[in-house]
Amino acid sequence: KVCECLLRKGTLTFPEILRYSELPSRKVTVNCVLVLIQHNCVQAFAIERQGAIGVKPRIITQYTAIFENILHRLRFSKFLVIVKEEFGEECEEILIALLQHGRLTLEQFIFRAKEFNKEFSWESFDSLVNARYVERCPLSEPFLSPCDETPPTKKRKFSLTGEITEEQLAIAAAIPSEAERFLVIIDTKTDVTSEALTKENTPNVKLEEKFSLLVSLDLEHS
Amino acid sequence: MSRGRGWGRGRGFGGGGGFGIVKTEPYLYFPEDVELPDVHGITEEKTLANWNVKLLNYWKFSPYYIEDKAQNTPQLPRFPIDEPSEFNLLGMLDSNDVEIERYSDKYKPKKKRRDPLSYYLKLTPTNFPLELIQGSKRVQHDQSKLQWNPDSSDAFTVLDKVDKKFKDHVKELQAEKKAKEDESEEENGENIEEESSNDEIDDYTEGQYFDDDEDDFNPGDDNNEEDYYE
Repeated sequence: KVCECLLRKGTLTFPEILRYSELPSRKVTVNCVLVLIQHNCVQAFAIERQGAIGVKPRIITQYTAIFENILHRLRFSKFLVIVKEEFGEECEEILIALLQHGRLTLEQFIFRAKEFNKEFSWESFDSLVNARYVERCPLSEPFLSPCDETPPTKKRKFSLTGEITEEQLAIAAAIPSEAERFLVIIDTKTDVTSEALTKENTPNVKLEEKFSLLVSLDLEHS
Repeated sequence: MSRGRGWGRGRGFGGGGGFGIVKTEPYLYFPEDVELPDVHGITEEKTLANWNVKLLNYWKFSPYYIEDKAQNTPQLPRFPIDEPSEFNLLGMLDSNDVEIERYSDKYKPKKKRRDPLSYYLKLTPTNFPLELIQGSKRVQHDQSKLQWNPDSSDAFTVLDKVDKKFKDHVKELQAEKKAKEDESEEENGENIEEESSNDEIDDYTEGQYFDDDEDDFNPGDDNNEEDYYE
């Protein structure tokens, strides 16, 4: 219902989603939006809205459905077949985890592998990142300034008319910088598992970065 | 006059829209000259379909499948009932409204409980917008308790793990003890003192030093102790 609202009515704020989705409780709506973000179907962004006369402009958070990602979910089984053929079963396992959960931290990968009585393969993970099938998650709430008219650095064509919509700007702004996007930092000095267990207190942010699935348009043609 | 005009219009329309005469052929239900593809030769599509089904089943029973609990709770009859007719009474006794445990429920597939969403979502401002996570409590769950493998049994997983850990620990202790005994057999009596010190120290071996303060029935030998019952 939440996704339907966003698809039919376009970009909405959270109070608008609450109103239009007509779900019984706020908590259910919150959980729905969280799950949609977790599975990369919705992108949130902050934008400054001009208030009425005498009212200061305020920053509001809006949510937009990522239409392409939603459609690509139909192709998940094909992604698995391609990765298995190209990289093998260990990479396929990593991809299964990402497709099932949307986003995972490295720590979660390790614990999940333990539960399946397998060891998490760093090499397989690296190979997926190097092949650009896996990337760091986009920013949770990128801020779009009102006079942001500069086109995004990515060379992808957004629309046939050449005009870029606010939603496309938001999605482009959420993408991490090229230096960070495919960066995997592994601290080989200490035991990774023990670091992962104490990750809540350590400033080691590297293990906390999440990795989401990058949908490559090339996959469609292969 | 109008009837005639209407009829005329109808005929004219019928004449303009009609097709040429077509030879009708008998419809063959089972034509023999059709080559059917091999049924077992579609492995790729089968794999794709299998993965689709697996993924869909996983998501349906995952914490990400959000169900409205309010719909599953029994609905109380509305009060006041304006017209207590027999139709109303039947409505109150409807099986959908009142959940009564039935014998047949024993054989129904049990609904798997889903883990809470917060187990798998990292509710931090870097991952989700602030306004969505402000109200929620950020409970830090022990990652080892999460169930990543949906096929593992629900009830006994945690107990099995604890049991296994205990058994591993016992095995380790036994292995250590054996290794130390082997070492002591190789060396001679010089190490007897060490061996005795390596024995597990417990109350049984230290019986002479065991302080039984809680034994009220046997008066202590030491008369200097406080005598509560004079």
